[in-house]
Amino acid sequence: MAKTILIVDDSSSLRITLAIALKGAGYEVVEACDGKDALTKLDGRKYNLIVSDVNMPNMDGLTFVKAAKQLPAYKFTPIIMLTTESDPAKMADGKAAGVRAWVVKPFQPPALLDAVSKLIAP
Amino acid sequence: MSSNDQSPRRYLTFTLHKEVFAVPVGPIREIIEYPAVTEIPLAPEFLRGVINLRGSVVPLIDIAARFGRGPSEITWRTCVIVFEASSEDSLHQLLGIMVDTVHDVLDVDPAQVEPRPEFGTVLRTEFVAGMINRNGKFVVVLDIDKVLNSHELRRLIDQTEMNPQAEPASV
Amino acid sequence: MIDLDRARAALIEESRELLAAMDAALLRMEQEGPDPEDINAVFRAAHTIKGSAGLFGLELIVDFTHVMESVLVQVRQGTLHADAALLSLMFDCGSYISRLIDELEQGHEHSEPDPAQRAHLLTALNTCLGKPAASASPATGNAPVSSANALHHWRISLSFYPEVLRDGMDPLSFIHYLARLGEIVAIHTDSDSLPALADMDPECCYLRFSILLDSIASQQEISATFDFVAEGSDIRIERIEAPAPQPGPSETTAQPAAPGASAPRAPRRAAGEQTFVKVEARKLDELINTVGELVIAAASGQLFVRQQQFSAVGEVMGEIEKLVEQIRNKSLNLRMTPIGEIFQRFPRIVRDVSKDLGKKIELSISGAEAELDKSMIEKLADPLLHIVRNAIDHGIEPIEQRLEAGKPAEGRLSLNAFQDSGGIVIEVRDDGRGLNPARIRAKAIENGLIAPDAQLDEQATFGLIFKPGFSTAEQVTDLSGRGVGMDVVRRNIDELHGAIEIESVLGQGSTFRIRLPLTLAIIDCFRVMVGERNFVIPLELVLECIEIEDEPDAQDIINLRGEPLPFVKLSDVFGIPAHSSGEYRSMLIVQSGRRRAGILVDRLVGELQAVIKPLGYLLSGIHGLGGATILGDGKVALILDVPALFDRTSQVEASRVRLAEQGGERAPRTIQLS
Repeated sequence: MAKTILIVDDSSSLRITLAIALKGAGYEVVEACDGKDALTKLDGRKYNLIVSDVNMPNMDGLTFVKAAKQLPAYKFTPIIMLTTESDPAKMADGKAAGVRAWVVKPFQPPALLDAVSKLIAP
Repeated sequence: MSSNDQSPRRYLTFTLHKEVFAVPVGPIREIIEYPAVTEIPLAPEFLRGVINLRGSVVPLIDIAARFGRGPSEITWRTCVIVFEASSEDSLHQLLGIMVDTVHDVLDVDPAQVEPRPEFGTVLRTEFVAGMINRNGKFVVVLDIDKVLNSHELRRLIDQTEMNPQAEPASV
Repeated sequence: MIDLDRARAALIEESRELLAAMDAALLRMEQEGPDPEDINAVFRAAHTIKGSAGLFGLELIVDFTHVMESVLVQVRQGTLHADAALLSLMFDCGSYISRLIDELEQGHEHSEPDPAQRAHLLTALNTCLGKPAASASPATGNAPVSSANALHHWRISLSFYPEVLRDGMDPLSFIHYLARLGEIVAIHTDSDSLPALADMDPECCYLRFSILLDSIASQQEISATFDFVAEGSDIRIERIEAPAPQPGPSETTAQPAAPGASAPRAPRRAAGEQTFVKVEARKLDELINTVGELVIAAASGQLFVRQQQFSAVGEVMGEIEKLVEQIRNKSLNLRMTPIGEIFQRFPRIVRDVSKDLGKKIELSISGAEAELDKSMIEKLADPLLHIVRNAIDHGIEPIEQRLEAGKPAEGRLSLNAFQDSGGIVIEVRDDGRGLNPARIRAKAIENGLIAPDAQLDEQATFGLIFKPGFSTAEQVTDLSGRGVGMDVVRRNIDELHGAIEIESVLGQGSTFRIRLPLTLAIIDCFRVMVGERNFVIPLELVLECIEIEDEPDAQDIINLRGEPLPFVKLSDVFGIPAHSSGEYRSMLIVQSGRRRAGILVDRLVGELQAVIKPLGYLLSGIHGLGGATILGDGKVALILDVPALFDRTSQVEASRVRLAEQGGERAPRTIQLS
């Protein structure tokens, strides 16, 4: 069965583009537009990987990830955070929350696919 | 069109006031039975009204009237040929024309199509694209883009609409 | 490829929204001082546009927003202050980015619209950062670059940090990834460090791995595999000379590129309108719920049919009909967009225009939440912009003149929207000099629009400014002119089936009032008949229906509860011959704008919901017809355009009066109502 990835980003064009790239690589994709939306989408579905932006309205990425990690079902789910290079403090914060994989914006889809394939196989 | 000049082209023939005409099949969308028609107020005689073509509202043109031959009579054989009026400024409008009977489709060698004569047809020469020699008889090929020129038709409709006294809507 | 077009269109739309939000935030800060929320909004615009544009390799946008973002990070941290100069710079950056977005929309994403402006802005931004004018180097994608190395043998020892599993990292997947770089010749799992069962934390990783890899990748590339877990882990990569058991078929495992996803190069987007509608999730949920109910109702209907309980089927059919109507309304509602979407552009426009003209203007906006069909919102933007520019340029006086007239120096301009009888009204009000009827008249005579002796009331006089040819070259200023006059505004509003009226008091100001239907797709109508012909009238215009006892006589006025009310006889206006029109007995009282009148028909049929079909180019010049719709029996019915019908009637009447004056007296006609 295809592995499912949850993309959390407030930019719909970014989500669409990543979804195209990931689907092209054989993954299933679910999109969420901010942390809050993503949290509601954690229910009732198992994701093999979460890709989340940091800076989002309503609920930022780190708050979301910390909340997700509290849920037993997502304790071991790998997470890729999308960030700008200008956020070293956030990166430290993320590490404490169990985020180890960072992809720096701007990036092109192959860079993300590369990161994804390090963490899960298609 | 110019690239395959030598291959035969297809024409649909029909009767209008006992005279046979031909049109290239290219712009024809479909041929339907004479439908229910909604008259348009203050319209010139050649604009019969509008019809419902699967949810689209399509104007129905009485080309006999357009040719100045008076309104067509409606019989059980009356048909509507629906054209996609192509126009340089891409006003893709569907237009129906009323004809007395539809005959058949001819494959005609371009060599068989004679250029339009300078005079001698009863139509305005610009409406005539050429003549097809059919067993010694000549069939007029209509230049449908000219006959159904949207701008020209619109001008005529607007004119009538502005001066209803000049041509009261007839029934 | 279509998907990528979609993504690009989304990028364009989203960037414009972000830029609008950024403008709004900048404006607020300009007026009310810096605010962390607003700074964040500006930052987010730059940040998100950079991120999204990066996906498409749009370097012009990425490089620029990158520098902008660096400045904004400092503003956020408080090392830079958001003073007037910086806000102004950010405004200009926003305008410049929106030009880049325009280029992108045109398919010219790699062409630079204004190199001088770009250089200027980059210098200014870099100055903020305390850098010399050299442009900051952009961050580029970190796609691995592989050099054409020879095949080497590598030994990789992996000892992950114990909590690696908790961080969601699966050692196996890294090993999996290694296989893309070359051939894994051997793997040895070292379980020596496994603790005794009692001491073991099942969430920790105790295993170590030794891997033999044949690969042409460089040490750096191999080591990049473990970037995410490098910290805290012991990862050793050594090149070894010992021949591997079998030299791998290197040509098949050449590059570490990801499969199936080359950098997307979107084809040019076909020019055309944006086709996205943003939908509130709540609306969609309601729709989905109703569809769910429909499914249930249909299923129970089927059951009753099988059980031959036909009375129950009838009931279910009624239910289904109701649900279908709800679904139709709810799906239409998805297209409704708050008018704030265009209102929000105006603070910026007003600021820029008034700055250019040296005027001070206070803009107030209300009713931004009023909703309108998405397609109409887009078409409304231009005419509204024109009216607003016009108000600032011609309406509001220069400061000295205002002070002389005893007005505050700051001109007032308000944009207001509200729902009104099934439609929406948008008002642009200014407290400027007002329209001067005498001057308008003089000008119209001068331009040959009216005869010197024409009798016009005030509304008609104001209406002249919408005539093509009214605005002349000398009057066209750089701002409101731009070669188009108010006639274009009128035409745009007409296309939306709307109406525009002007209220103006000389010396006190003007109000331009635009009335629009809420949607162009479906309207509630009233169906009437004249002879055998069906006509429908938008229900929102119908005030009441009355029966008329007497046959009306010559004068087209009735007495409605003591008030005189003009009416039109539909058969007369449309030249429907008398022999088909039967008895005139029913009248609809309709109101359009401020005009109220009766429409006399043969028969009132009832209400219906009409899906509006355009009449098309050929018939769009016929006054009094606004479109067509298809009735339940498949016949086409014509939709009356009431304002145009009234206009037409007054024209016809004016000529009739002229004829009467020439041809002798005619007795006035009145009808007495019971």
